[in-house]
Amino acid sequence: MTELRIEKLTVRYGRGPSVHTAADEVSLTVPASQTLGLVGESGSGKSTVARAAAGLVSADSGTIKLGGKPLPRRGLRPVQMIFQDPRSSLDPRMSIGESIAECLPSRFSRSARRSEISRLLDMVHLDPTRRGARPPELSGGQLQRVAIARVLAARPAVVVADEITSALDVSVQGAVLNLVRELQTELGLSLLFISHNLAVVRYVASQVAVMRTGRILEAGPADQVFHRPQHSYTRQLLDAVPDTLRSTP
Amino acid sequence: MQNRWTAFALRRGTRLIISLWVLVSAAFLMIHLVPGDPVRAMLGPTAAPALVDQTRENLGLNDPLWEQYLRFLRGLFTGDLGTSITMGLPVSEVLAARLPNTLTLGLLGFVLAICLALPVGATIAVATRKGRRRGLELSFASTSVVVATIPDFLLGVALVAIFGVTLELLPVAWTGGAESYVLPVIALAAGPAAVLSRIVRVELLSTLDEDFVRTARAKRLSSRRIVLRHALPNAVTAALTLGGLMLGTLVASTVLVENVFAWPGLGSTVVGAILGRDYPLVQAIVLVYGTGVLLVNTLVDVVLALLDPRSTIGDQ
Repeated sequence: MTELRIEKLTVRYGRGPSVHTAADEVSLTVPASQTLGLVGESGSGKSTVARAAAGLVSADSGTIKLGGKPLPRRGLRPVQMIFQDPRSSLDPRMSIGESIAECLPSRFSRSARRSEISRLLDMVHLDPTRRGARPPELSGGQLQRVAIARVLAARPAVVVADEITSALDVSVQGAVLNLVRELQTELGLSLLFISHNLAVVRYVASQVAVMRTGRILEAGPADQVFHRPQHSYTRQLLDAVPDTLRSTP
Repeated sequence: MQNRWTAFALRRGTRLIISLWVLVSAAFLMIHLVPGDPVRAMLGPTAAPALVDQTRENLGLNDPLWEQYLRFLRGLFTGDLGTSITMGLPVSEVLAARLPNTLTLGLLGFVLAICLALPVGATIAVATRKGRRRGLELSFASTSVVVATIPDFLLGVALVAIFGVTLELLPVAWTGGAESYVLPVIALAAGPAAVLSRIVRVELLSTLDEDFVRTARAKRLSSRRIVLRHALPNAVTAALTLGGLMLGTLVASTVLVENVFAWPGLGSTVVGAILGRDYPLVQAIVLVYGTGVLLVNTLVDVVLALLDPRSTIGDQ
């Protein structure tokens, strides 16, 4: 896996007097084969940074480099994103197998695609025989597993997970988090994990960055940020977490 | 899931049978709802009393109402719809000769409307997305409103004047050749195509903002594939619903268009039959048009159920 480095990224929405700066000179690094947790309240610009990294939003200024090189403009995107709501992020008319197959590199033959889809579904703990199922037939947790398999099919250098548990029932959040952690370790994924839930970020991330109103306020190793926060806003966020959630979930 | 489909088929089948029964009964009662004596109205005030009595006897109007109703139903099942008074031919024979011309005209109009609306609506949606090309959006909006509001018979007259009389490119009326289909089919299809293309545009714009389209972009699929494979199939449900309903009204629109182009179909026949008070023929044509609309609506429901089982049969 490769390091993702974002430097002085600025993204603005709108024009003229109604312009809104969603990301303001954001700089952060997702170390190779590690997880960077990006935390902050709603509207702090986390998802904008994620979308810019995945190439879904154009940056007004700044650079995004992968292994020291700019992101390629052609072919499969090396930075792939898992979205918040798995039910709406998959085409309801396509089978989950077809959705995954669309991400596979074109060199795969028909039979290789079939076995690769089975392998990916198995990897996310879904029954490969369900490859023909359509999204309405699966639960939220199962769909988020499909979304993870879809992302892995693209052989990404970096995975961006944007609030991937917030649309799920509490009962399945833990299972999805365990899967993400397991895959990150097994595959050595470089992961940008975005959440407003500090307990969740603490569970999966080795590095943490805190964002507010489009700016990075503090960044560093997870232990340091959680135990010796430098910024008052980080301390406020930590104080807002109920005691029962401060320990690892 | 099997039960839901069975329940859907039963529900829709029952609704169709009841609607058909209402239609048949209304068509039967039509002759009895004519003010005064229908036979006198049919033959005119100067007709000889003997002829009036004979015609009433031939039509079975002297029998009790329930007997007439049963005879009418039996006639429908055996294909005996009576005899046309103005043409002197069995009604079923008149229908067999005229119905194919009307069906061809209606279906060609429908196919043209869909074939125009889908690509035009989709292209305009993609081109004008996120407030781009305001001029194109405005031109499309105003043109489609104008075309949609022009009555089809008026458009037919305008087409005849331009392409038939002034430019002499196409025949002004039915000649039997393929070229005589061009103007009436355009006159029939233009309005529905304008309405449908607006719906396709709006639906596609909304679908292009859906999360699964963003996912498709994240896969870096081509714009063509994103629109054709992901967005359009999810956007056409509303357009197909309306398109299907329009097919029913489009067949009814053939009445006016056929008269403009002297088309030998049911539309021109029914006008002649009404003017000539040819009740058996009017009854039969009303039944054919009504049945056509009901069958089309049922077909649309079935197609929608296949395309989108969740919203139609509650399949989760």
